[in-house]
Amino acid sequence: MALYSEKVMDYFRNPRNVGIIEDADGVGEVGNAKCGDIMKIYLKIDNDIITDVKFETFGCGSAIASSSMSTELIKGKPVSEAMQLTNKAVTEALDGLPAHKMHCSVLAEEAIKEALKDYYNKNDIKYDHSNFPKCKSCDHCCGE
Amino acid sequence: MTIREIQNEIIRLKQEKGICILAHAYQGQEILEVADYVGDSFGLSQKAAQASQATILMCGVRFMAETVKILSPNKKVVLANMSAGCPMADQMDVDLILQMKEDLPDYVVVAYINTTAELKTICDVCVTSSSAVKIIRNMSNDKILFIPDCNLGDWVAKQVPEKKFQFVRGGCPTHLRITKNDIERARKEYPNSLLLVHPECHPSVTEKADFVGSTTEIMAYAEKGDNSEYIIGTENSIVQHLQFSCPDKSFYPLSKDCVCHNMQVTTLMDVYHCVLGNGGEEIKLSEDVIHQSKKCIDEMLRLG
Repeated sequence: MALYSEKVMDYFRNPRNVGIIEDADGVGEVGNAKCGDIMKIYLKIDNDIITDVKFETFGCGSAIASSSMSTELIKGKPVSEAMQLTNKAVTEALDGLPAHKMHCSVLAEEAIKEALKDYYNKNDIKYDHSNFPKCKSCDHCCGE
Repeated sequence: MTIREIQNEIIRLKQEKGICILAHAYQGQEILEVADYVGDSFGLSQKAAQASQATILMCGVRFMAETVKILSPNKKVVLANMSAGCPMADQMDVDLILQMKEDLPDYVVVAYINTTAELKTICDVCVTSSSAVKIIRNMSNDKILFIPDCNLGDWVAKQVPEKKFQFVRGGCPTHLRITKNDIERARKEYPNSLLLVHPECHPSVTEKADFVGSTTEIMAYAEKGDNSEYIIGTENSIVQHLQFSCPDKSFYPLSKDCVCHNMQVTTLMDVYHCVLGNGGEEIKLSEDVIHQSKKCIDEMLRLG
C-alpha cells in the first residue's frame, strides 16, 4: 500500500493557493532552517472574513500538502472559525499522513495561527494569548 | 590549547594515521586550514576517491559523506559531526518520489547532489549546481522531473527552455532567507559592487544578480574578476574565505541571515577528536545502496 494518500500526492504535486499577498493583513511564518520546512501564510481579511489566503512553503511533500490544505480549509471563513483549525482537521482532509510526518500538519495549524496573531496585532484586536502556544512542531526536530 | 596548537596536532595526527581531511567551502577558516582538500561536495568526493589515505574525514554534512562513501566504498569514511545534516537533502523520500514516478513514466528523475544516498538509488541522473545545465542539455530525454530544489530547478529550466520540467517544492532554507529587499538594501549600500548569488536562492533574487553560480564558481568569479567589490549571496562563510584569498578586494554579505547552522555545527575540536579516533560517525551504506546510487553519479559523469 502506498505510504502517501492520493490526496497528499495531489496537494503536493498541484498545490492550491501558492504565492504571496503583497498587501496581506496578516502574515505567519513557522519552522526554521534546522527543521527544513519553512511555511509562510498570507491572509487577506475583509470584515472579519478571510477573503484570500496564499502560502509559500519549501519542504517535504507532507509540508506542502498540509499548507495547501489548511489554506483551503480557512478560505472564505470568519476569523473566529479559522482560529479553531486543528492539525487533526488538516490531516483528516488529506486522508491521513504517515506517522513520522504528522508534525507537518501541526506546522500548518501554527502557521495559520501566527498569521491570525499578526492580523490581531496589526489591528489592535485583543486576544487570548493562551490560544497561541509556543512552537510545538519543532520539539522533536530541533528542540526550539 | 590554542587554535594553532590544536591545528598542529590535527596535522600531525592525520599524517601519522593516514587520514585525508575534506572540508566543504562553507566550513570555518580554522577547519579549512587543516584540510587536504577544500571545495564543493562532489569535487571533494572525487578527490577522496583519488587520495592515497585509507580513511577520509568529511567536514561538511551527511549527504556529502555519503557521496564520498559511494565513490570510495573500500575506504573508511567518517562524518566529523554526526548531527550535521542537510534539511533539503531530507525533504524528499523514496516513497514520495516512487509514487511520482508512477504518474510520470516518461520523465527522467534528475537529482541534485543534495539528496540522500537512499534517494539516489531510484534517480536516473545526478547533477551539481555547476553541472546541471550542461548535463540536462546533453540528455536525450526532454522531460525532466527535477528534485528536490525547485529554485535551482527554475534557474536551470530558464537556460534549457527546449525541455519540459516538473518540480517538487523543496529548497534550501538557508539560501531562501535571502529576499529581494536584501538586494535593494545592498545595491544602495554598495553601488560599485557586483552581485554574485547561488542558484538555490529564490528566483526573485537570482533574476537580479550580476552572476549566478555554484559556490566554487562564485569564488572563482570574485577572485579572477577586475571589480574590487562584491556582494555575496550564498552562505556567509564564503565572504570571509574570499576576504582571506583576496585581501585587496572587498566582500559584503547579501544577507546577514544566510548562515547554514548545519555547516557551522562542526568545530575544530570535532576534527581533533576524529583524528584522535574518538569522534564523528563512520558512514555505513549497504552494498546495494552503494551500487544503485552510484549509477546516477556515473550517469552524471558520462553526460557532464
